[in-house]
Amino acid sequence: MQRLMLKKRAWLLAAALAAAPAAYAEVDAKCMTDWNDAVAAQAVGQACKVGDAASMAALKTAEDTALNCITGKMNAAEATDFKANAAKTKTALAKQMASEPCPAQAKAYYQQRTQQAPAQRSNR
Amino acid sequence: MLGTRICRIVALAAVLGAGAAHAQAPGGSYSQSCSNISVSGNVLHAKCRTMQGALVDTQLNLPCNGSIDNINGRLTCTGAPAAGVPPGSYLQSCGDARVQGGVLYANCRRANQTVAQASLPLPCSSGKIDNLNGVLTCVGGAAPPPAPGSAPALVVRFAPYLKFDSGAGSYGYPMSADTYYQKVVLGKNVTQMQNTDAGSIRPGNRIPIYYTMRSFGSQVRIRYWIFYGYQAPCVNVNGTGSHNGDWEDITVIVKTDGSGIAAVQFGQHGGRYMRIAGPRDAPCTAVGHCDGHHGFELYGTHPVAYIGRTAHGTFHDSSSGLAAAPGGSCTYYGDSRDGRGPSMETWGNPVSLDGNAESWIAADRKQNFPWGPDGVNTHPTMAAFPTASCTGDANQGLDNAGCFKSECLSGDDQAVGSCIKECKPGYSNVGLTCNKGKWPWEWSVYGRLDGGNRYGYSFGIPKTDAGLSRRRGDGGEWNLP
Repeated sequence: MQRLMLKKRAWLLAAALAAAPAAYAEVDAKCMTDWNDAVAAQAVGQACKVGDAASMAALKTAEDTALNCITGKMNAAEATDFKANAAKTKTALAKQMASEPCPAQAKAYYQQRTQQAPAQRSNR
Repeated sequence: MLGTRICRIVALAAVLGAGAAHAQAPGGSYSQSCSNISVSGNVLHAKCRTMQGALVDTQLNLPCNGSIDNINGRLTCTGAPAAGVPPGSYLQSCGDARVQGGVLYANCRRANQTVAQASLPLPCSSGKIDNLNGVLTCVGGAAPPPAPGSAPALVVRFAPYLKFDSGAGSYGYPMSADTYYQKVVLGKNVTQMQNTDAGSIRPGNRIPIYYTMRSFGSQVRIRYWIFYGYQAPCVNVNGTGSHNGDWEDITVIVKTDGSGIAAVQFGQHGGRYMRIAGPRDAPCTAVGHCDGHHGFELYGTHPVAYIGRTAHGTFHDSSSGLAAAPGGSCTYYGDSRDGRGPSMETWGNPVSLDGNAESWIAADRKQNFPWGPDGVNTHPTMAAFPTASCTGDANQGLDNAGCFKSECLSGDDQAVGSCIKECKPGYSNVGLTCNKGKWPWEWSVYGRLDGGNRYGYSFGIPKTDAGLSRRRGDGGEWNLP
């Protein structure tokens, strides 16, 4: 089989390169943290009913911005895979926080996050 | 009066206790890392520390004619071999030596005082077995061959079971490399030869499968080689791709205790991919890696390999192929391998490539001949064992896409283009992060996509069972791969 690989390498390789990008893209750790913070704050806002529509929308925007930052360097298949995993993560967090009564820190935490969300956007 | 009786009972208990628990405990390095040491009858009891720092109850039957060591929480009689264990200087620094399936196993101490589970295929022709920093080594006797017809039991036990395509007939079945060498390579009048007789591979056949067997740390790996006389032109590529001689290979990675298979590397087109035996209950979202059955099929103790009709590559799964696609049957996964043709048990005549049981083997070591006119220049005796899990791209491609069907280590997510480590003990897997604690302000959290928690499909194969036949554990195993 090796001989074929040598003879046919040129066109087969060209076809393969078109369909096969690099192994995987590095993920920006800061974008990942921003995404996690935005999603966690939304989960708290929802579970503890401490979020109003405007602040929740701001957090969603922060989440989308971070998501775009993360997937920007990925190929289409990897980005699709990541987004699906991100959606599952968001659901899992919301479910985790909805199961018990909210502690007193919830409101303070949420307010702190919503104040940071616009600042995160303006930094990029 | 009552006070006197109580005093007598306590005194009697003290005497009995001294008699039962304070028999002289034998000396040994174990006493530095074990406590609660006692001897009861002919059994030495102690609580000994593991490499992870846990204290575990352990015991050892006495007498021990060697020295007693604590090897990862286990009392071990070092330097006193079991029956049938070959002699050697390794016994001074290795414990629990035993022979199973033609392989010597022992727990051997490294220079840094950690202990490695080591193994060495037997026999060692020089008779001089040393422990070289935790690796059992046959000094001055590189991988001696067993006598013809006496392949190590592991080689026979884990030899692959080949399933051919329903259209395999004229494309050829395995044959003896020696017959081919004599008639085509050395012969003057025969320019092509292949085995198209399906009857020749029936159960009980004597068609050789060639092998090399090596130790990697505590692990034994066996690389099997299968010879075909001819590879026909690729389908749908204008008749190109044909050549004389065709070598294919499968590598079996044996569990460290020799009891089964930890992983299998299927070779095809000069590349390969790895399938593991261990649990894989983590998410699998990547096409290719998750398709079909998990791991690999077994036929008894033998891994099943589906053989490509045209190019004879070995695969863990069946497929009707992509003969109509550009590149046709010679694209990486395009060869038909439906497994509905004849099957072949390959363990009837294993031939060691470390010996000289067949005449071509010595010539092969010089690598100075092609396998016939326009033949391949593959020389299995000189081929190094693969150390990476797979070759090529992790995404589907026509060429060089071995990693497309490769698997991550046991327990890890199989994502598109990369593997993601499972969460550390005590952390919950939330998908993209591992979290400890319920609310964000009390979280201990880390991302799963950075900090070494993500790795490519091509990685160094672990030299223990960790990540292959079982999930990785605490301590150093967490750093795998």
